[in-house]
Amino acid sequence: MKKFIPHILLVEDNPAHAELVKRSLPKTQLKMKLTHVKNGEEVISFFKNNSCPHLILLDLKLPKMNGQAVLKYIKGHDTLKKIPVVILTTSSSMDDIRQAYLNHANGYLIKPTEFSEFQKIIEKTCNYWLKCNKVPF
Amino acid sequence: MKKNLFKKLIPYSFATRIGILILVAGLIPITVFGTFLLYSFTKILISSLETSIISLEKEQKHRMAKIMEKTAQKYVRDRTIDIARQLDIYLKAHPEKTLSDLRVDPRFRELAIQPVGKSGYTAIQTSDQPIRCVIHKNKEIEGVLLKKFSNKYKDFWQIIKSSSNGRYSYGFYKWFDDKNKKEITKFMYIVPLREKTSDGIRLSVAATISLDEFISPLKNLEHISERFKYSLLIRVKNVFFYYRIKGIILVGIIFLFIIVITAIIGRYFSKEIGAIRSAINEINKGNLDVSIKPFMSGEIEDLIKDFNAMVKVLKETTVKKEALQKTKKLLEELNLELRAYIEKLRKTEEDKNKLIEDLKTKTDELETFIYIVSHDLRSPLITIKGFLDFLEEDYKKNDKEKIQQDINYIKKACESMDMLLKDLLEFSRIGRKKEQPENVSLEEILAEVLFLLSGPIREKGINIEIKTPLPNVYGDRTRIREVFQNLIENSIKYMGEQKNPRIEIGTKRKRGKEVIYVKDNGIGIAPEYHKKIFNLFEQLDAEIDGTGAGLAIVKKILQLHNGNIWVESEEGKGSTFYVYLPQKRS
Repeated sequence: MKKFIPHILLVEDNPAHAELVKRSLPKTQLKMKLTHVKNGEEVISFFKNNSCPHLILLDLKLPKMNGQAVLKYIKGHDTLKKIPVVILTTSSSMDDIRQAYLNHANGYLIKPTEFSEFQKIIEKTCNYWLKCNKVPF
Repeated sequence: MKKNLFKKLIPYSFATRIGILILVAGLIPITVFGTFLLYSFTKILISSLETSIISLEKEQKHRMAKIMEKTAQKYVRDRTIDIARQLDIYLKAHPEKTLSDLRVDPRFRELAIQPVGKSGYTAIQTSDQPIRCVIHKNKEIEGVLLKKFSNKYKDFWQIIKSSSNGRYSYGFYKWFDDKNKKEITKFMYIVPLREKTSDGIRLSVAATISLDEFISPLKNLEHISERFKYSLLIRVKNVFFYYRIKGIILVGIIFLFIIVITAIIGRYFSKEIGAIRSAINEINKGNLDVSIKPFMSGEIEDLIKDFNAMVKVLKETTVKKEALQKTKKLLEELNLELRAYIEKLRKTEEDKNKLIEDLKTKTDELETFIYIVSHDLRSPLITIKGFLDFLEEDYKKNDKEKIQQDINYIKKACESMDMLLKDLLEFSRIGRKKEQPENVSLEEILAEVLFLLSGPIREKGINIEIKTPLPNVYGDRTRIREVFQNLIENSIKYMGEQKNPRIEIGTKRKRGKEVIYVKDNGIGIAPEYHKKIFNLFEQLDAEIDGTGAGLAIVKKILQLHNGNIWVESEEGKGSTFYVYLPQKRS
């Protein structure tokens, strides 16, 4: 039996924020793999070359193709739509939240300014969604 | 042709026409008929007068004849009685003498045969039957029985017969005169003698006379009456001729009288017609306050009344029309006013709508602004706080490499935040501080910009081409410079790995307006981002420094100048930014 290593896809244009997420993850109980892409185009090319991730953490403010467009693309795709997508963004605008859920986002997280909080949210979300989406490789 | 001649023949004036009509219709037939009547009447009268004169004359003649006859009778009777008395005296004186003695007695004979008138004479005959002629002018007849003539001269015998036995007798009779071979009328008177002859024979005296002797003076009278008759007739004729002339003169006078009356009536009619005509002329001139006083009864009066009624109706209609026109004009004016008012209202409404629109845009902008600010400003804050925590951790571990990394992240975030705040300040400042707009030379502006950017241009070896002449634009000099500075800066920034970097600036007609273009041969922009790039803090490439406020600032400046900006570009083929700036204040 192969060991289950959860795979998370992080879509984040801000390198500092990516680093924050990266450094927040290993502190949890789970061992997991994290792939960081900077924009929408990179997401699409990622799906072409790699297997499906177990969770996608998606920023809304992206250069060129924005987060909502990426979400629409994923949830409109036959196989990719099963992957849980959690929005991780600085925007707390109701329009963004409503639009995200209309585009079938599985969750919506607002980046908190308190780092410990940030860590906890990432940890809990990842744990929850990876457990839900526990599929053998 | 014929009609024209006819028209020419008929006089223009109504009066003359009526005159001619009356003459033709009345006077000429009356004259002709009257003359004819007068002539024929005179003729008949003269002939009847002639007849009556002739009959009167005949009657007169007859009466004259009768009177003559009676005169003749009286004369003959008196003469005969006278002779009979003479003879009686003789017989008394000679009572011894017998008839035979007496017949031969010359004295007695002389007394017995006496002339009566011119042609008449007396004779003696016996008084008793048979009556015999005793003494006669013609001795042959003496002794003849008078009965002998009873067949041939009945009237004669009848007179003789009635004288028998000593009676008086007289009468007319016809006697054939052998000498003149013609029958003549004779008168005879027989008177008996009182004395007898000695032998006792009674005798009578008979006188005869031709009646012509008495009537012949009448013949002369006939001549006279004939002359009288003719002179009378001539007199009558003359009188009639005189009256005929008088009649003609009278007809002439009547003629003149009729002409005068016609002229008067004609004038009257003409006046009437003239009045109507002048009224019509007045109406034609536009004066509708015309009314003709009706001064004739009948059709003409009705005509004038109708005319007046017509004028009244016309006037009313005109007045109505005028009123209608006035109302129409008033309505039109009102309409215009109303239209102007509506236009004003519409403009107000438009202004209001525009204001609302502007307000909405501003609110939207503000919302977007707040959203962007909250999102973009929080981002570096999160980084700083997060890395400060890491820094603390790493400091405890004394991991110098990691500490340095954390500090770098924090530094970058701070710088980013500073830039964001700067740009934000810049963006919000646009339009708040208004400079006096002026005519700005684009060539000057571009020279300034190129001077400011001369460093990076030289560094990247960019070829700049400005296609003169460039127009003057109207606006805030500093802001306009900012626009072109931003655009050229962007072109330099997104030049990519171009070996012959080039920027071209010039003018072109686009979308019906003269626009300024900034064209480069850099990396270009995909069509889906042509609008997005003008949003605040929108960056297509995260690697390139800057906040992504430049084009948002440019767009806002142009909006404030009533201008516009858009881009035409394809990925890898460079981009062209078109700037529209009004040349004069609109």
